[in-house]
Amino acid sequence: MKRRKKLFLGVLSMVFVLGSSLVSSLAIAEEEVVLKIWDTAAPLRDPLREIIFEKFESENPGVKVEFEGIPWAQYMEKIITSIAAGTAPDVIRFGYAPRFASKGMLIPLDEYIHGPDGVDLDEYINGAINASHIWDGKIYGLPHNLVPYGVFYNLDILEENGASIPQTYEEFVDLAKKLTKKDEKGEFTKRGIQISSYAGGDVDYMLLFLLNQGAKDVSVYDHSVKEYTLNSPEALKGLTDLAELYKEGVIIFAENEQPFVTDYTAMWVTQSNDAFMFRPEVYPDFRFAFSLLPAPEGREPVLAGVCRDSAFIPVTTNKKDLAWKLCKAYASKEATALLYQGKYGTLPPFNDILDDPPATPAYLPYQQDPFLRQLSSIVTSGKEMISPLQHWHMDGEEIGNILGEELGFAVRGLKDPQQALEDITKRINQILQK
Amino acid sequence: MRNSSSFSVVLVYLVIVIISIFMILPFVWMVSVSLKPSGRIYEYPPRFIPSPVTFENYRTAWDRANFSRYFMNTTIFAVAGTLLTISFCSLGGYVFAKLRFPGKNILFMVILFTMMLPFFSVLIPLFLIVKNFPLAGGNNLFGKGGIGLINSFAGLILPGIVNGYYIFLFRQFFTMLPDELIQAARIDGCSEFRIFAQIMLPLAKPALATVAIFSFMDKWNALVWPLVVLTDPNKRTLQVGLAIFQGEQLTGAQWNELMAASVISLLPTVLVFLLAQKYFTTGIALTGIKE
Amino acid sequence: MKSKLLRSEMRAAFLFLIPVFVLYIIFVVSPAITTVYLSFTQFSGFDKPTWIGFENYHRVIGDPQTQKTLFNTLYFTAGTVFLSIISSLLLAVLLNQPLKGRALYRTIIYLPVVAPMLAVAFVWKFMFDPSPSGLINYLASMFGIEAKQWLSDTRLAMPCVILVSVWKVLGYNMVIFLAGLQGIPSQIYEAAEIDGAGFFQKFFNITIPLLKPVTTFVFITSTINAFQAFEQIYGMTSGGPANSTYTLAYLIYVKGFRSLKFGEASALAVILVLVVLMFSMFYIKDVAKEK
Repeated sequence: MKRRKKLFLGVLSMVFVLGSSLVSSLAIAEEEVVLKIWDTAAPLRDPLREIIFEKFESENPGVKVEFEGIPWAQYMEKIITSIAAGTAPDVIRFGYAPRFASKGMLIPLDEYIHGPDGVDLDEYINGAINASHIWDGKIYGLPHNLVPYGVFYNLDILEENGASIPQTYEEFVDLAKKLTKKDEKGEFTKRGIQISSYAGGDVDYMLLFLLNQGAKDVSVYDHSVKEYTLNSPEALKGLTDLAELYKEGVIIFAENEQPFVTDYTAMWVTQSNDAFMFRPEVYPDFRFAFSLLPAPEGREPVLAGVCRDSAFIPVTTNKKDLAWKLCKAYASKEATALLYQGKYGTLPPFNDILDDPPATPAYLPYQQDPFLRQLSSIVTSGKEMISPLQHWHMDGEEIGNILGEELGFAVRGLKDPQQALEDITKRINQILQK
Repeated sequence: MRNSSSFSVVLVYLVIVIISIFMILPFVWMVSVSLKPSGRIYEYPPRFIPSPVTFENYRTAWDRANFSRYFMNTTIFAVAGTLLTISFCSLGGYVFAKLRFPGKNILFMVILFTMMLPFFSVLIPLFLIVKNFPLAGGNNLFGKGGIGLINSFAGLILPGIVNGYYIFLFRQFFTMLPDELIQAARIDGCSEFRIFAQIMLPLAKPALATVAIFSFMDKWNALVWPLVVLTDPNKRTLQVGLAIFQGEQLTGAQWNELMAASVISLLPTVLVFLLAQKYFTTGIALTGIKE
Repeated sequence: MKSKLLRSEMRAAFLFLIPVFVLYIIFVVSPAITTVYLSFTQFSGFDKPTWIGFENYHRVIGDPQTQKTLFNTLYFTAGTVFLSIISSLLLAVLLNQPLKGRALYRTIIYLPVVAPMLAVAFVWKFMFDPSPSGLINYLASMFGIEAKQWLSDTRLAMPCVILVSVWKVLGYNMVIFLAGLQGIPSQIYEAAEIDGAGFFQKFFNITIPLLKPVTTFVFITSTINAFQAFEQIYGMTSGGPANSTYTLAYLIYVKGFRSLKFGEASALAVILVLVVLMFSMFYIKDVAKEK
């Protein structure tokens, strides 16, 4: 009896397994053209995306857009396996285009951009395309967003201490020291600065302090770059300052908004879209402001950040022209504003966000919300945007890792800053000159 | 004498209670956060029992994350996969434990070797094998042309069925059962399969239950393979749905909603564990011991 | 008569193994062999692999990052394996005593095992927040310990990751030890007590030696799992701070799925297997000698 049951179960399972594989191999007849697009999974039924698709479908009759959301943390696995197997969609919306492009996985978009149904590249903020979406001289994606690095200020803490937003780097450092407090036991009750370390992001913000002094990581934003030029007196000053502040307990590294919203840290050096974490819907009473990292007396603040997201086209598609149309639809001013509406603190990468925005509801917050207004005016002030090397180079992962390790040691006082800068240069040059 | 023994009893209880608190702390925190409204997740001092308590997060998680469908998919996957796993692995373990044949040790070494490779290093080769599976999903005899077992139920469960660890486990268990039973049955004229199915397998109930529970847990918690091999959103499993629900770092779910979703997805494995506890603890037990 | 039995045994072994081995060769052995092959190639996951001989190995062995990663991995493995064996053995001994509520305690201690690692890694990260309102800091402050930066401190991050790993696997190892303990006949202890042996003497002279087979099994499986540990690092530290928690399994993932260098990743995987083999050689020899 037991054996018969086992046999039955075994046979049933086999039938199940064989049957389902047979079914999946039946061809499905299609009457219309289906364009598949993947995006990082935000809410499953995202009404904003549907607006973009509806518009696209009405402008392109006979085409249906099929959308799938992929978890951000596993997106690389999904993309790589699907391109390897030929099951990739027609359009992928993600970042890191240069990395995929350098392995021959994407279609260059130059002929489309400069073609009849093209796009005016001058509308983009200076530097937006350059650093983040180019490989070997060709463009592989149009940027959808812009996220500058800067400082958030806890206005309540500042006011309590009779302070205002610092205008220079020197004021910033003084304020940070002033706002770091200890109790009778010598334990810290307040810290001046927190630096975001989520997913290894602290690299960028430590680097920001160095760039702020006038250091430059590379001299050209081009994959042919062969020399890493961070090692300079300016960089040394920035790094030494960081190490000193860390030693005095003024700086801590933190993964999220917890220290900031619980009034433990007064200022938060991170990217602007971390404002999403303490947006008004969630923390209605929390008052904050944002600025670029204040520059030393006599210098202009550095506009550094990322414009990483774009829509790119895998080489495995057989609907290149249609895929481009969808890419273009995604990259429009209205679409980008819609896409990032929920991501408080992300900007569309265009020059005229404030001055001449499209008259659509999507752009209203950028004119009305004080934080977004502030952010927009900072970004559109004519500076060129710098995106650090590790964000756009095909070996960016290794480069970011070296920077994170050496800078991390130097800031924590575990390594001499000058030595760290020299080692960084040596190790990164080895990669660039391979 | 009596004083020192009651003192040591108190000490023992203290150690056990402290360790239990340490073990359960994250779960208590998860539930606590899942009951908090947004904006009150971070407080100083942190609060275990939220005030106010809200169940909104569970409702949101269930609705928005399409959990009912994913629950069903994952149940089918976990149950069918587990049945197949215990069938195949028990057979394999038995062979290595009780039957003699040339090359047995070398084969077993191969199994151990494959156990040591980390999953991410075999992901792409495995994926390509599944995709190029001959005569499936539109593939020809050489495995070209279609998508093979991608997006199919077969592609989802077949790779996980024969698992070196479970074969090893069964082998350890079967080694402990006395050979005399087998020899007696052989003399009686029983076929090898009947010996396995009607004599050895019933004796292996604890091992069967153990592997069943482990295998169920593995498949219930699997994330990367279901994500990579399934392309139809309707076929998604629970962990994939959860990961999508979590979304990007900066959008979608807040921590409280995410914790609610996690608690929901945790419940079945906890339940299975609680129900089968008795088999379980006597089960794994016997695999570590050798003769 | 004997050879006839042997032949039918071998035939049965062959027949039984066919279904198991077909699946095993297709879905487990082939990807493993492919990985070894890929370690001698340059492969982006998409293009055709190009043969480059030992170049990946040269590059990987000469890279300072690999050396640091290897050190971290050994640190992590040693910490996790020894801590989890010692603490789970201790707990097993304690919970083997006739204590009130021990079934409940065993269940609580087992609970972390059934939860998906990635999910609980996020919860632990949450709890390790460096501000005073982070749960761990808050609890520490009640004992007069000042707030620490935990996952941002290069000296504390790895111990935290080890702690979470031990937390996760404690219950599992405990149950294995419990069974082992239950296999030791009580007469041996009684005889020792008559001779005047105290608790520690019984433990070191009886329990430990008799548990050896169990201990080595736990050692080997814990070692393999520790070398492959990925999700706790992915979820808690991303290898940081300053690469202090960067382990081999994490490096393999990053080299493959972030840098798109699967050739190097495969070479690292092969190196990982060799290191694990070195660690576990003696136990494998034991297992092979059996039967």
